[in-house]
Amino acid sequence: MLTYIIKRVGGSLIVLFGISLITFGLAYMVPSDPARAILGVKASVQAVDALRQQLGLDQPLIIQYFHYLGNILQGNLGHSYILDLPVTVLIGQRLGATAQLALAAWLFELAIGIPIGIITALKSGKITDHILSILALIGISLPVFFVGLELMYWVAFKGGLFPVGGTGGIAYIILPGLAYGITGAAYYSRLLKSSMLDVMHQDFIRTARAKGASPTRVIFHHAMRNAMIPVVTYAATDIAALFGGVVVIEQVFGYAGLGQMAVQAIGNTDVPLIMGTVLFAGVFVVLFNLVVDVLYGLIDPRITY
Amino acid sequence: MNRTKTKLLALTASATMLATTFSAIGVQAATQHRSSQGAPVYGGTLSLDLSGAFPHLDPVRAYDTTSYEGVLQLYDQLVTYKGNTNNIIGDLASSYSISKNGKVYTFHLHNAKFWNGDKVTANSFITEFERVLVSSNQSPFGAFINPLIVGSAAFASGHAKTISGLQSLNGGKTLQITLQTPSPTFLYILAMPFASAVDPSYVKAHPEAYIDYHPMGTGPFELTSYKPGEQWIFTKNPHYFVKGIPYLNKIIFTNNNSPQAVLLHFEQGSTGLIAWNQGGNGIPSQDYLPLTTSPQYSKDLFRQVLVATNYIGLNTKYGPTAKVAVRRALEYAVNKNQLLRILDGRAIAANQVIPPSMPSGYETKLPADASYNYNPTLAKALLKKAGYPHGFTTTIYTDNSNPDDVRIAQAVQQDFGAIGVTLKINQASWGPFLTNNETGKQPTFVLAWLEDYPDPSDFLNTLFNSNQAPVNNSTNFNNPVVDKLLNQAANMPNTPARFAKYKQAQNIIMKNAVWIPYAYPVFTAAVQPWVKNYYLNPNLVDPLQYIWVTKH
Amino acid sequence: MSQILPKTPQGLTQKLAYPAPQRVDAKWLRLLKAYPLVFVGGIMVLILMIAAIFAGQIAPYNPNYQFPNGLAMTGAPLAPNHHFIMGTDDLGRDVFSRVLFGARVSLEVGVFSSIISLVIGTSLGIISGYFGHIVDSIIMRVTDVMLAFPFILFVVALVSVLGQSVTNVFIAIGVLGWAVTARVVRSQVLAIKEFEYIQAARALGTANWRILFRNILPNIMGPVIVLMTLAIGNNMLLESTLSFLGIGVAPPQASWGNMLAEGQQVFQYAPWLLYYPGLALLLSVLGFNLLGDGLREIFNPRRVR
Repeated sequence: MLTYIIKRVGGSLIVLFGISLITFGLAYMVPSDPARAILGVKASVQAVDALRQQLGLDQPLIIQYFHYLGNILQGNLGHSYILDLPVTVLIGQRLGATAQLALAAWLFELAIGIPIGIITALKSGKITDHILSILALIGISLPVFFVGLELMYWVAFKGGLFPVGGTGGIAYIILPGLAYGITGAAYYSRLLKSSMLDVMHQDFIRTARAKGASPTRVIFHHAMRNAMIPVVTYAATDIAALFGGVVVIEQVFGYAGLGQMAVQAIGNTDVPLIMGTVLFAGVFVVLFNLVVDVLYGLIDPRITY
Repeated sequence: MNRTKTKLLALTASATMLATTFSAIGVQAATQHRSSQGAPVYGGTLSLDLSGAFPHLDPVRAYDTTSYEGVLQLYDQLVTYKGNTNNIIGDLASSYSISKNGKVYTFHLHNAKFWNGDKVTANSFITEFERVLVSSNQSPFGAFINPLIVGSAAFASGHAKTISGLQSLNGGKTLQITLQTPSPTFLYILAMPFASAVDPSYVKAHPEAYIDYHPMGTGPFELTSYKPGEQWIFTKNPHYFVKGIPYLNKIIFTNNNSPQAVLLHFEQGSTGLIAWNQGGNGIPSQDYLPLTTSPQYSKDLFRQVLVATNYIGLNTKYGPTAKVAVRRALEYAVNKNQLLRILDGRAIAANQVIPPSMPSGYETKLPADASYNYNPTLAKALLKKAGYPHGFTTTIYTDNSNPDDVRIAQAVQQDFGAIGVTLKINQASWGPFLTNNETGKQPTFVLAWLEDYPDPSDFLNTLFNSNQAPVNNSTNFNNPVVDKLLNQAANMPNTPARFAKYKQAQNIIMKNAVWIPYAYPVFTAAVQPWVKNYYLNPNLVDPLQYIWVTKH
Repeated sequence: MSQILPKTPQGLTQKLAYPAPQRVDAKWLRLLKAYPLVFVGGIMVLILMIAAIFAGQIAPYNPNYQFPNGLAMTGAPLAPNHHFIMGTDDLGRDVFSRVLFGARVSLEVGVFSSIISLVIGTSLGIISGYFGHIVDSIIMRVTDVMLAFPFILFVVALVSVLGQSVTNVFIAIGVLGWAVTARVVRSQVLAIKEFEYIQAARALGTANWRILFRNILPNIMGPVIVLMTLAIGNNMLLESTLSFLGIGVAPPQASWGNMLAEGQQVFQYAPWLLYYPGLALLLSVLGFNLLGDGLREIFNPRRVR
C-alpha cells in the first residue's frame, strides 16, 4: 500500500512538472511584449527595455523557465498586468465561487443522469428507452452557452424565478448548474445504462432472481451497487474537470469565477494571470485525482497492489 | 488618445474641447430630460453593471474610461467642466489666475477634507505630480506635465528632490504652477483625473499597490467595500465640500461583461444606466438595436458625438499601399454609407482626420484633391493606372475585442474585393494586435483615435509626425513638409495662423491618402426614466454625483 | 456482433419460414430493429454530409456577400422573407447560404480535429499498451498532463496564440484532445495482448510491426470508430464554444459556431440568427451521438439481447 502511494505521488510530481513546462511554453508563444503591456503605449523604448531587464525577459529561455519554476515552488504565480494584484490573491478570491458552481453543475449532472441511466437500462430497447436516450443526447448535442442563454432568458428573465446572471448565493448557481446538468447528464446516463446492462446479465443477479428476491431489491440492492462503480470513478474525475470546465457558463451568466477571470485575462493578454489559472486548474486536477486514487486504495479491498 | 491603443480598456475619456460644436442631439436630449426632472430626491441606491474590473482606482495610474468612472467620484481635481459644457470651472480651486505671460498659474484652494479628515493643501497636488513623475509608479501621464512644468524633467530624472515649478504659498492654501512655455491646453490637462488631490501622509504610509485598491480622496463618494474583480460599493461622503451633492446614498458596481445580461438587467429595472460603465461606446453594440427599437427605452437614450475618428490605416512604407496612387485608389473604394449602416447608425460619416466636434482644425470644405467620394469604377481605373490592373492581395489587421471593428473589416474586405484587391483579415486580441501595430508593419488596419487634447496637434502631430513612427504613427507616414508645419505649429500661440498650419498639414495628409477616415463615433447611453438629472459632458464620464433616483 | 442468419434452402419451406424479399437484407433488418436509433443518426449524418459537399450547388447566394439591401435602414438584419428564406445577418448576408457553407466548415473542424487526435491517441495508446514498461510510463504521464489541463481554457489559450483560422482551430482541438483516446486504446490493447494467438505470434518471433498492424489494429478498430464518431460531434460543439468565447473560426467564413455566437448576442430581436444555425448544429451533433452510441452497443461483445 505504501509503495503504491509513493509511486502514485511520484507520478503526480512528474505530471506537475510537465504542467509547469507546458504552461511556460504557452506563455512564451504569446506574441505580446509583457514589458510593453505593463507600461502602456506611451512609455519610452528605454523604459520598456529597462523593465524587460528587470523582469528577466532578456535572459535565455531555460533560465527564465527555472526562474518561473522557482517562483511557483515558492507559491508565487506572478502579478497580473491588468488587475495589478498577485495571481495567487486573485485565484483565492474566485476559488470559492467556482467551487460552488462546479459542485452545483456536478450535482445536476448526477440528478438528471442517474435516473435516466436506470430507467433506460430497465426499459432497454423499449420506447421509453429510446425517448429518454434521445432527450439525454439532445442535451449533450447542444452548446452549453446556448442552453445557459435560453435558461437565463426564459426562466430568469421572463419567468422571474432566478436572478439574471451575476454572483451571489445559491440562487445564482442554480441555472448555470442546471445548464451543465442538461448538457452533461447523458455521459452519466449512458455509462450507467451500459454498466447496468452488463451487470444484469451476470450470474449473481440471476442467482438473486432465482432465489426470489423482488425486482426492486435486485435492481437497487444487487445490480445498482455494482453498476455504480464505473459511474463513481467517472464522477470523481468529472468534478475535478468541471472545476476547470465551467469557464463557458461563467461567461454566459457573468458569474465572477475563475473561468470568467481567465477568459478576460486571455482577452487582455494578461499572461501571468492566464498562466496562473491554467496552472492552478491543472495542479488542482492532479492533486484531486491523487487523493481520490489513494482513497480508493484504502477503501476498496479488491484493489491490490 | 487612441481608442484601441490605450484601451486596456475601452475608449479613454476625452480630455477637452473648447468650442461648443459637439452633438446637437446630446444637448437636446439632456435638456428635454432636465425639464421634467422634478425636485431632487436624496437617498437611494444605484446599481450598475461594470464592463470589467476597475483597472485602477489610483489617479496616477487611471487612464481608461472604466477607471475614470470610479476615480472621478472618489477624487477631485483643481478644475473641471461645468455641466454638459466645455467650460472650465474650479473644482478644488475656488478661484485661479493666469499671469500675463501665460506661464504662471495661481490656484486658491477650497477648504476641503479627505475622508480621513486630513486637509487639502497645495501639497496634496504637489505630491500627486511627483507621483506621476516617479518612474516606479509607471504612470502614463508623465508626458502631459514633463517637460511642461518647470523643473519636472529634473525631478523625473532624479536630479532634483522637488519640482521647482510647483510652489505652496499662503500656508498651503494657494498652489502656484510655473510653466516652461505658455500652454493653451494646460487647464484641460489639470481637469484630467490624474491631476487629483491625494493625501500626502496617506500616500507616505502605504505602498502604491495598496493605494490603487484603497483610495483616499476628497470625492463625493467613498469606496466602502469591494470584492476584487467582482463588486465595488461607493457610499456618500457626508462631508463633501460641495454642498447639496451627492444625492445618492450608494452606488453598487458589479463586474458584468456579458452584453445579454447587461441588457436583461436594464430591462428588468435592476440597473439604472448603460453608459460609461459599459465602456467607450456606452451601450454595447449587441444591445444597441434592442434598446433603440424598444418602444419603452428608445426615448431614454442620450447621444454624444465623440471627439474621435474611426479609420482604416494604410501603410505608407510597406506593401502595395506604399504607393500613393494605390492608396488614393483605395480611398474611392470604400462605401462609407454602408459602413455607417453596419455600425447601426451610431456614427456620422467622416471625410478627414479631424472630427467636427474638435473646436478647431476641422475643415468644412476640403480641397478637391484631398476629398474622396465612393466611386468603385474610378477606384478600379486608378488602381490600373497605379500599376495594378488585376489588383493585389494584402492583409487588414483588427482587434477582435471590438465586434464593430471585425464587422468593419469584413465590409471593407468586400469593398476592396469589388476593385480586385483581395484583403485577408487578421484578427487578434488587444495585446498582440497592439504590439504588432506598433511595429509599423501592418499593411492596413482598423483603428480609432480619441482625443487627449482639444487641439488638432493631438491628432495630427501624434499620428502623422515622422518622429512618432512607428509606435503612434503606425502607417509610417513621412513627409518633410507636414513635419515642418506640425513642428512650427506646436510652438505657436493659439491664433488662426496656427490652425491654418494644421489645416494645411491635414490637406497634405488627406491628399496622400494615409488614412481612410470612415466615421466619427457617437456615444450612446441608456438611462432609466427614474434616473434623473443625467447628462453627458463631452469630456467626462457619467455625472453620478449629480444623479438622483425617484420611486420606481 | 449480431448473428448472420443461416441460408435457407430454396423450395417449399421458403415461403413459410423466410419471405423472400427480407432474406437478402436480413442482417440489416435485424440491426435496424435492434438499434433503430443508429439508422436515424446515420441518416442525419448523411444529410449533413450532403449539405456540406453540395453547399455550393444548393446555396442560393454567395455566403459572404453583404447585400446592400440585406440590412434595414436602421442597420438591423432582415427577418426571413421570400428573398432570404432564413433572413439576413448583421452584415446583410444570406443566412440560409451561410448555414449551408457553415456545415462545411463545422464538419471540417469536427472531422479533421478528430482525425488528428485519433491518430495521435491511437498510436500512443497502441505503443503504450503493447510495449509497456518505461515507454508506457512515459506516455501515460504525458497523457495525465494533457488530461489535467482545463481543456477549453487550454484550447482557447492555444488558438489565441496561434491566431484564428479554421486550420488553427482544428489543430488546437486535435493536438490537445488525444489523451482520452490514448487511454481507451491502451486498455484495449492490454486486453488483446493477452490473447493466445498474439502471445503465440510473439513467441514465434513475428515482427512487432506485423503484430501491431495485422492483429492488434483490426481488433481495436471498433472502439476507435465509436470514439471517432462521438469526437466529431463533440468537436463541432467545441468549435461553437470557441466562437462564443470570441476565438473560433475567423470571419467572414461562416461556421455554425460563429453564427451562433453572433446570433446569441441579438436573439431577442433577431431570433432567426440563433435558431437556424442552432438547429442545424443540434441535429448534426445529435446524429453523430446517436450513431456513435449505437455503434458502441453493436460493437460491444458482451452485449446480449
